[in-house]
Amino acid sequence: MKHLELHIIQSVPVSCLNRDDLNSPKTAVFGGAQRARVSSQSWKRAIREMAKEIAPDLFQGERTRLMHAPLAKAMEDAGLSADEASDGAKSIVDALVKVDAKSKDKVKSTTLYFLSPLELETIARKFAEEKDAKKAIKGIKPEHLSDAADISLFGRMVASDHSLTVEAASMFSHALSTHKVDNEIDFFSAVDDLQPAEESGAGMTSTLEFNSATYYRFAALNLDMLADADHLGILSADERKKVVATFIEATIKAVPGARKNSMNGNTLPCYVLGIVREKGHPIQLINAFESPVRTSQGYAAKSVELLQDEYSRLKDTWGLEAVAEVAIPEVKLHDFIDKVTSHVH
Amino acid sequence: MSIETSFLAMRLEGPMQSWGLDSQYNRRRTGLMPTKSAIAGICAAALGISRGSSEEATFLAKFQATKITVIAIPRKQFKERVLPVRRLEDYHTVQNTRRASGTINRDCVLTHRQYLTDASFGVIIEGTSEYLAEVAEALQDPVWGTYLGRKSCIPSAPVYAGLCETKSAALQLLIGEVPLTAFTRQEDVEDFSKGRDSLPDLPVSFASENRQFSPRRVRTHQSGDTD
Repeated sequence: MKHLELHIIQSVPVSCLNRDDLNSPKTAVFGGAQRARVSSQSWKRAIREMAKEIAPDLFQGERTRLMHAPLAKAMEDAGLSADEASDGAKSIVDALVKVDAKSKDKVKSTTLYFLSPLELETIARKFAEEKDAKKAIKGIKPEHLSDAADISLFGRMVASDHSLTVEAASMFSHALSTHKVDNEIDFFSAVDDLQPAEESGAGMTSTLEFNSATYYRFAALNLDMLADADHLGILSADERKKVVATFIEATIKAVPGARKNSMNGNTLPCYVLGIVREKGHPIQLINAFESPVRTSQGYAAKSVELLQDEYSRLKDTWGLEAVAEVAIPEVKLHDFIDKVTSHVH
Repeated sequence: MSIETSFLAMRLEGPMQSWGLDSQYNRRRTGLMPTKSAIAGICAAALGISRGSSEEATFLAKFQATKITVIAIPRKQFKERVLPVRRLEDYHTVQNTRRASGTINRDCVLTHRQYLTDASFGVIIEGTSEYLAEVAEALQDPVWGTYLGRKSCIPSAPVYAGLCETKSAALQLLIGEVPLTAFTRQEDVEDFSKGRDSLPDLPVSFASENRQFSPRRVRTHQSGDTD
């Protein structure tokens, strides 16, 4: 498969980007040492949100439990009466992901559903003609994803109708720190502004966990899959280039929003290696950090050096061939994107 | 005309791996060895075979006739220290899980997903030459992604190691000159007298709405076992 790989080194101090059920930052053991970890799904959500901001015309997929209202509205526009439209929209929500019986104020589905505006419009129009939910849903075709690159990139799982499943064209691994990390505990106290001056003591005290880490992040995109008929084959090569450019920019820049007001982990990577290969499958360079980085000079510079060594060793050992190798900061972000996307077909 | 046999060697290496045997419920555990269904899945994805298609049925019928050997290869660190394989438990929410009764639960549930960390495996598939040549070619340039049990588990080395005429040549690619008996390994066996463990991981169909597996008889040898 023709694919693109992004290998990113990024330092994120004092943060809790992704936590477990006990509110501790997630960790993993790698190379026998505990590492800070951010799960792939956590970082992907931040990337999806940013992609919507960068290219709102191409990334219009919405994950929602509230598709009833826009569906009913689209059916009314297609000529149905308000009651017919509301009942019709309900039957479609029920057929796709089931109506949540507990929703009182407005009709909700039981789970989030990823839907593109074109798909929504198509279902509504078909329903207005056929008056049948199943037939309306069958009217959804891959070409209706042309305004929802996010569904093609990140995938859609549907339990009720497997024909609507879209396999994600992108792959993300969990981000791991390049060095050993122990979570730390921050004890904090908060002042009660209205407390009389003669009383002493904090209004409240508590603790929260955080860590500081230099992460290795990895993302890949199957360019052949992205261009096939089940994904964005309907778009022109130029439009697909724009999708990939947006994917790259968002993957590089987006950071999960957790504790962004109290800890603000919003940094940018210090190094990004972009690789395009015509053949083979994505391979991450995490083994560069299998022995956790130890240095008195900080972790980032040493991590970049080890990453570059690992890449040349991998190329040498396995005879990997690339058609493009570009790195930030050697080139600026926009030149990086131009060079990589010139290989998108 | 005799049907020739080949040995396909695969390398499953990556910091996180997950080989589910019972992943329908909200504790999605991993086994300590890659499952035969996972290996079939990697090969089928490489060939670009859709779930539940007629190509899949043909492919899986051929795959069921293969014999696999899975070798746990210890990862060594500085000063030859062997790293222990650990299980990592990730907390995650998921939708549309299956209840014990078989119906779909549409409420969002909390799930715990297990991964193996610091693990590495070698796999040898023994089968007809014609079939394995096709799989070998696909593994080198797969149609869809290659991953170690879950999509977020990206390999850290190419999965394809080589296609050989003999088992010893395939072993050489994975473990070099070290004897196989030095490793913990699991082999498909033909009958009860040769191995008494059975695993429910022989894929019959990967169709999303109708996944089916049949049991597979295996024997697990601990490192040091010589027979």
